[in-house]
Amino acid sequence: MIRLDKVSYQIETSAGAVQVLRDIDLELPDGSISAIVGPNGSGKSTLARLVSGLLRPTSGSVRLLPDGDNQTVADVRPGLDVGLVFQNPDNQLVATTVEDDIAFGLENLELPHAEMVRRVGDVLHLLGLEQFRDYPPHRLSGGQKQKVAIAGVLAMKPSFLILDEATSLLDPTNRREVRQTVLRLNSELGIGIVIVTHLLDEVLVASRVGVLAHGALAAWDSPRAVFSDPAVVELGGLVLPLSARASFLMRERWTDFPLCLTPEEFARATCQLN
Amino acid sequence: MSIELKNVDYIYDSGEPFEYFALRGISLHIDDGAFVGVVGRTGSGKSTLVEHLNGLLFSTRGDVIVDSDIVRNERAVLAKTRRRVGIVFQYPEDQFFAETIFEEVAFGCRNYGFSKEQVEESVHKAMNTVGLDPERFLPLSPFQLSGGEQRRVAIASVIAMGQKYIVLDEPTAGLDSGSKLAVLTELESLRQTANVTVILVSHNMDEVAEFCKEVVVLDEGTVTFQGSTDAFFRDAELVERTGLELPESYRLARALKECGSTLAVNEGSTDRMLDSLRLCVSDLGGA
Ligand SMILES: Nc1ncnc2c1ncn2[C@@H]1O[C@H](COP(=O)(O)OP(=O)(O)O)[C@@H](O)[C@H]1O
Ligand SMILES: Nc1ncnc2c1ncn2[C@@H]1O[C@H](COP(=O)(O)OP(=O)(O)O)[C@@H](O)[C@H]1O
Ligand SMILES: [Mg+2]
Ligand SMILES: [Mg+2]
Repeated sequence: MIRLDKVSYQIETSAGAVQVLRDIDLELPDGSISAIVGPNGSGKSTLARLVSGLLRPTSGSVRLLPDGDNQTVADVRPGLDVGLVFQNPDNQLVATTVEDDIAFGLENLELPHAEMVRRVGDVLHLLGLEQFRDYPPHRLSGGQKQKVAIAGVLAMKPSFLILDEATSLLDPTNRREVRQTVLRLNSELGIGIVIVTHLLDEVLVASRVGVLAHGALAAWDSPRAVFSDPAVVELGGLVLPLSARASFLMRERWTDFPLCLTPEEFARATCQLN
Repeated sequence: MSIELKNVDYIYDSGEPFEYFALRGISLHIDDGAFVGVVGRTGSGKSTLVEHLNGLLFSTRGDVIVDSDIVRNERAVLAKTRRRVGIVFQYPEDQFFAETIFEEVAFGCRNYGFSKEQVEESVHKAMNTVGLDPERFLPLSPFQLSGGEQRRVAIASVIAMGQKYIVLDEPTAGLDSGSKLAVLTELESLRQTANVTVILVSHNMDEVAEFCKEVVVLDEGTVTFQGSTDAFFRDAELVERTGLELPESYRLARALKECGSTLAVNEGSTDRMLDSLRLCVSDLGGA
């Protein structure tokens, strides 16, 4: 798992020091799915970079430890242990073909050529991108480009994948496609997933949600618990899903009506009343 | 006064071997004071379409008419058009250039010859509209901000100019839900108080259902639907075919129907849905 102990992060600006993150404690178990939410500017991307080892905390520690073993701790190696995918696929793709793009990160690992070819082939297959192997990335749709970015990160064989608002520029179809791909990586390969998002659909696939507000962790709990607490919803810059607001309305008459987070849950709960 | 498109075609790299037919036979009418959504999958032509509205692109065939002037590549017409139509581009923060947020937001106003006082006032008002505290943010560099804060600065820099048509190309992509709602609510109030016409390109069907009374649906460069937002979302098959998804209120109404619930709720905006549910619940209460 990845463990954050009292992680703080401070930047120096012309106007003085700014505390971006303060005393964050988190445990991300291997193979788990977590979400990070919070208003714009609350520190989500900074946290994502700290977890992936791209930034070092000003104080506190980010450590990798095998599950069930508290002895062998190590620093997170960026890219190798944790892969990070950003919002805009156009800023992440560098090469002239999909294949070269995926191989790009591997070049620095000094792998034997055969191993490199094998890894590229594996991730192309895994993400269903084989037919695009020789395509220039700019000819792909947004969702396909984002999958190429994910493929490049996966070729490094990280044990965690962080998606920093990675679907927010995509249309609904592409978004669904990327989400399903990520869930499959989790269930089939056991890759731990951290989704930084503002989108309800993506929060709901997580078993735990971290709510960042003004650089501090306001909650670290299940999606249902997070949406049950109006103060946390507000702090996290979230808006209650319509189904949840409808559930609260039902409670005015049926006091034990459950908190429903999707239309389907709401319909089921309603029909059980009749 | 209105915006009108008559049989507009647009071809990228026309006449070249790689020419691309991005818009085909688009005819549209957008009334003053409307709040119109433009939806469709990535690549369907939304950005190409809206870039015609203030003369960034010129139709290959057909006319784009803003307040009875045909938009042409002529200095006088363009100046008039750009004074009427403001565009917040997709990923506008990529185009930041100024050293302070004040300079960034003031730039357009200065170009239109606002007085010093008018610039100050417009900039402050626009910052408040997008929910950024002017005192705190105006002196900062736009490059210091988080992505969502930058997006709001970009929106403010267009709103500050006070045009009567405001076009926003996926303005809420990447904003947190609270800011999304705040920005759109402010645009709606600009529409009501200043009769600004809002044209919103969006991938978020919940916000389209909440704020847009009408939608234009694009698919492969043609308009496949134009009319009331409600009529569009009631046609679940068309929504699916155009690569879009149903808003939550429509999914909720459908899920209730499918499980045979006696609660009949109204689709559309959040208020409309919750009001109808409240009525159903109190009716049941009486029974
Ligand atoms: N290099 C920097 N210089 C100044 N401020 C920064 C810098 N990086 C981040 N910040 C500030 O830190 C806060 C958190 O930023 P970020 O982690 O990008 O937030 P989020 O991803 O939640 O939107 C923001 O207020 C941002 O303005
Ligand atoms: N500068 C350009 N040159 C050639 N083709 C372009 C250019 N810009 C956009 N296109 C193509 O035109 C089509 C419509 O693009 P766009 O209007 O950006 O769609 P949307 O905004 O709906 O995603 C796409 O297939 C896109 O690849
Ligand atoms: Mg961020
Ligand atoms: Mg576009």
